[in-house]
Amino acid sequence: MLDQRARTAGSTTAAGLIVKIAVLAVVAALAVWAALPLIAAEAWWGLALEAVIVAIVFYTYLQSRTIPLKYLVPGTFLLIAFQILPVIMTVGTSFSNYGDGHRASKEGAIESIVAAGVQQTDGGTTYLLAVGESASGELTLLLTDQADGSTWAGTEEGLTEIEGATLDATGRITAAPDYTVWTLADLNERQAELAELAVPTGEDTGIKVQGLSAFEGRSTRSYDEACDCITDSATGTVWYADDETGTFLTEDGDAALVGWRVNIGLDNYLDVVTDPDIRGPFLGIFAWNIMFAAGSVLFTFVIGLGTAMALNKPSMRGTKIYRTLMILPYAMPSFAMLLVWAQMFNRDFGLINDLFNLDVNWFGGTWSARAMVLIANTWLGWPYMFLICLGALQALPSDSLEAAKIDGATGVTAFRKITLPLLLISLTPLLISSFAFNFNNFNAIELLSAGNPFMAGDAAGGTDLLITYAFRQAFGTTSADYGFASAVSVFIFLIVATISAVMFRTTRNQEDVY
Amino acid sequence: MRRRTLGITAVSAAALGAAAACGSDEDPTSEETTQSFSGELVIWADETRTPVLKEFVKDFESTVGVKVTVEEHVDTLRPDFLTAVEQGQGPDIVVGAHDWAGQYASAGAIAPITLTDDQKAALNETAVKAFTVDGNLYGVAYALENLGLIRNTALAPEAPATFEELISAGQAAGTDEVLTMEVGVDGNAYSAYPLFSSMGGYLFKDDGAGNLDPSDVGVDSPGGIAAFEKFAELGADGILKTTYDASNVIPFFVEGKTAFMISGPWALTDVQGAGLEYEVTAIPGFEGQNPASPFLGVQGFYISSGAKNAVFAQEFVTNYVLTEDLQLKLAEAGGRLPALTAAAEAFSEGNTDIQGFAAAGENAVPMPNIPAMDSVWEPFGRAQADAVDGASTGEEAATTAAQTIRDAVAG
Repeated sequence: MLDQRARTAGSTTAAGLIVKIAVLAVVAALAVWAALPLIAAEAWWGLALEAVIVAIVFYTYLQSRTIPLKYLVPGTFLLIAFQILPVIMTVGTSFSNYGDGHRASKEGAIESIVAAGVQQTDGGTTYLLAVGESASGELTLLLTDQADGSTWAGTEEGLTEIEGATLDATGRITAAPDYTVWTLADLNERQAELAELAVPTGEDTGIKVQGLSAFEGRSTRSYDEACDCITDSATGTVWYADDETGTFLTEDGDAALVGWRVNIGLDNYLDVVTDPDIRGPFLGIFAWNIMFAAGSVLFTFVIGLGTAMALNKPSMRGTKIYRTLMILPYAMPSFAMLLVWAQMFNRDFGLINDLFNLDVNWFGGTWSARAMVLIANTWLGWPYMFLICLGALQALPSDSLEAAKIDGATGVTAFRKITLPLLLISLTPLLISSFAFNFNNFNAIELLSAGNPFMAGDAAGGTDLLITYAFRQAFGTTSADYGFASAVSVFIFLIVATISAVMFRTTRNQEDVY
Repeated sequence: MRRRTLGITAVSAAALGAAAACGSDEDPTSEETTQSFSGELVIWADETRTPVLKEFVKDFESTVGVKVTVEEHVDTLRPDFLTAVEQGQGPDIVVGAHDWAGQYASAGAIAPITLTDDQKAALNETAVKAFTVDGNLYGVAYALENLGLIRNTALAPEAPATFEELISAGQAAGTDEVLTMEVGVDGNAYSAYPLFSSMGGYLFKDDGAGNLDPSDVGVDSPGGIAAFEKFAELGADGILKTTYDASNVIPFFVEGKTAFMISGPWALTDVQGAGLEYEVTAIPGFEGQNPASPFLGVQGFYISSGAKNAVFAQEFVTNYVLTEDLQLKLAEAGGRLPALTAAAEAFSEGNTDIQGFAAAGENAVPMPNIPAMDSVWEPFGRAQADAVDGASTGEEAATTAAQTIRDAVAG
C-alpha cells in the first residue's frame, strides 16, 4: 500500500530526500563532534579544514546539478584520508630518525632527563600530604612528618611548622588554623596548580609531591639554554645537545637516556644506497622479491588455467563438485591456512616430511624455504586464477575458435594462437595486480617462514620480502627504527609503481595489436 | 617496620572512606558516592590482569572517590602505550613487564617513582632492581615469573641434580623426546639463557650494583662460547631441536612424549588439565659448572609521564599496589609469585608449584631492561638455532651473534 502510494506520488525522490537528510544530519553531527576537541585544542587550521570539507559535502548534495560530483566526492575524500595522507606521512617520517630512543620532542627529552635527576635525599623525611590555601589564598602543602608526626606548611618560601592542626587517624591534616584544607575533589580539580608549586627546603632540595604523600628530594639536573646542555651536579656529567642526531651527548660521546626526533634529511635513503651492510641484503631481497611475485603469478596462473580448461570441456562430468572443491582453499581464511602450512613443513614432526619420507629442513635452507613459501602460496592463490580463467574462457567468442578449426588449427596450436592471446587481453591487468599483490604479500611470508632462514649475523632472511624486511625494521624484536623502515617503504612504493606502470603500458600496446 | 607501613595504608584507606561517606547523604557503597567528583584514573592492562584489577580498584574508588577505568588491551599493549603517550593521550597507569622499562624510559613515556625505604624493603629485592633504569625506579612490581623444570613424575621419579642426569633420565624414560624446551627456527634466547648462564656466559657486564654495561657484551666470552658449543653438542645428539616451538613444547609433555619440560607457570594449566603427576624443580646446571639461572620476569605498574591525573596515579601505584590483598589476588589470577615478600610467603604456603618455581628462581637474574637488550634477542636466538641445527659451530655462532649485537648497540 505504502509502496504504491509512494510510487504514484512520484516519490522515489521523497524517500531519497529523507535518506539524504538523514545522511547529511549524520555528517553535521560528526562535524560538531569533531569540531569540539579542535576548538578545545585551539587547532584553527584543523577547524578551517573541517569546515571546508563539510561545506563541500553539503554543497554537493544540496543542489541538483553536478551528478558525477556526488559520486566522486566521498571516494575522493576517502582516497585522500586513507591512501594519500599515509603515503605523505610515510615520506615525511622517512626523513627523520623517529624510532626507539628518538620518540620525544626536544622539550620532552629535556623534561624526562631532568625529572630523572630528582632523588630522595639521604635519610630524607617523608610526609603525608594534604593541600590547602592560606587565608591570603596562597597554595600550601600541609605536611605531616611520618617519623615524628610534626606538622608543616610548605609554600614557595619554604617550610614552616604549624601548631594546632587536626589530624585524622592516619596522621594526615584535615584542618589547620588559618588554612582551608582541600577535599580530594578539590585536589583532583586543581592538581595542575599543585604541579607548579615548588617548595624549597634547602639550596637544591625541595618537597616533591607523589600521590598523597611527599618526600624531601634533591634535583641534581638542570637545563641551561645558553649552552644548550644539561648538567648533573651530583655526578658532574654535562650532556650537550646534538641537534643533528637528536641526542644529548657527553664530551666522551655517551648519550643520555632520552633523545628526540629530528630531521636527518636523506640519511635513511643514503643508508640503503651506500651502506654495504644494508645495500647487499636489499638487492638480494629485491631479486628474490621479484622471483617470488613472478613465480607465484606464474604457478597459480598455469595451474588455474589448466584446471579451468579441463572443467570447461563440454565432455567433462561432475564439474560442479570439482568446482566446489577447488574453491575451498580460496574460501578458507589464509591466516589460518598459512599457520597450518607452517606446521606441515616442520622438519621433525611435520606432515610433508612424514608423508614423503623426506628429511628436508624446510626452514633452514634458503632454497628449500623458498620452495616452501612458493608451494604454499601457489596452493592459496590458484583457485582465484581458476575462477577468473573459467569466467574468461566461457566469455571467449566461439567464432574465432571455429574459424581456426576450419583453417586446420587444433589442440595446442589453437590454444597457443587463439585462446591464450584472447584470454590474456582480459586477464593481463589481473595478472599485473596479482603480481603487485604478491610483491607485497606480507602474510604469506610473515606467517609461514617469517623470513627464515637467516644466515648468521644477517639482518635479512632468505625468504624476506622488502615489506617483511621493512616491517621488522620498524616493529621487530630489535629496537624500532620507523625512519629507516619508512625509507624502505618508499622504495617499495616506487618499485611497485614503476613495475605496474611499465606493465600497464605494455598491455595497452598489446591490445592495439589484437 | 614493613607491617607498620601496610597498616598505615590500610587505616588511611578506611579513614578516608569514612570521611568521603560523611560528605554524602547517600549509601556510602553506592556508585554515586564513589563518583563524588569528576576525576578519572585510567589503567591499561592485558587480558589476564584486567578482570582482577577491575575488582580491586573498587576499593580504591570507594576510599578515594576517584573513578578508575581499567581498559583491556590484548597483544599490542606495549606499543599501544608508547604511541598513545606520543600523541599526548593514553592512560595514567600501564601494567606490564619490567623489560619494557628501558624502552619506555628512553622514550620519555614513563615517570620515575620514589618508594620509601620501608616500601622497598617489603618488595623482593630483584623485583626492585628489575624496574630500575639508569639509577631510577620506574615501576612498582607485583608478580615474578621464571622458567623451571617441569617433570612427569611417573616417567622420571627423581629430580635431576645436573643437566647430564636429566639427559640420562630422559633417555631412560623411553619416551620419543628427552626434553622439550622452546627453541624454534629462530632460536629462543629466553629459554636458552639458563643453560647459557650455567656454562658461564653473560649478556652484558654487571657492575655489581645491577647496572649493566651495554658496551661489554659477553656472548662470545669464554663461557659464552662454551655455552654455544654445548648447544651444538646437544643439537647433534638430538636433545635440543629447532623444531621444538611454542606449538608443541607443552603438548608433547602433556601427551607423555617427554618426561621433562623447561617452561614457565603458564604451562601448568595444560599440565593440570591433563591430570599428569608432575613436580616443578630448579633447572639443573651442567656438571661442574655454575647453576642454571633463568631470567626473572617481573610484572608491575608504570605511571605515564603524561598522566592527566598524576596525583591519584602516584597514590595508586605507590600505596595501593603494595597491599598484600591486591598482590594475592593478582597472584591467584596469574599463578605467579607476588613481588611483595609478605604476600609471596602467604601465597606459596602449601602451593608446591609456586615453591618449585620459586626454587628455580633462586638464582634468577632479572631480564635486562636496558634498551640494548632489544638488540640481543634476535641475533642470540638465531645463533642458538644455527648451533643446534649444526649450521655453524658453536664458536662461530657465538662470535657472529656477539658481533651483530655490538654493531646494533653501537647503532
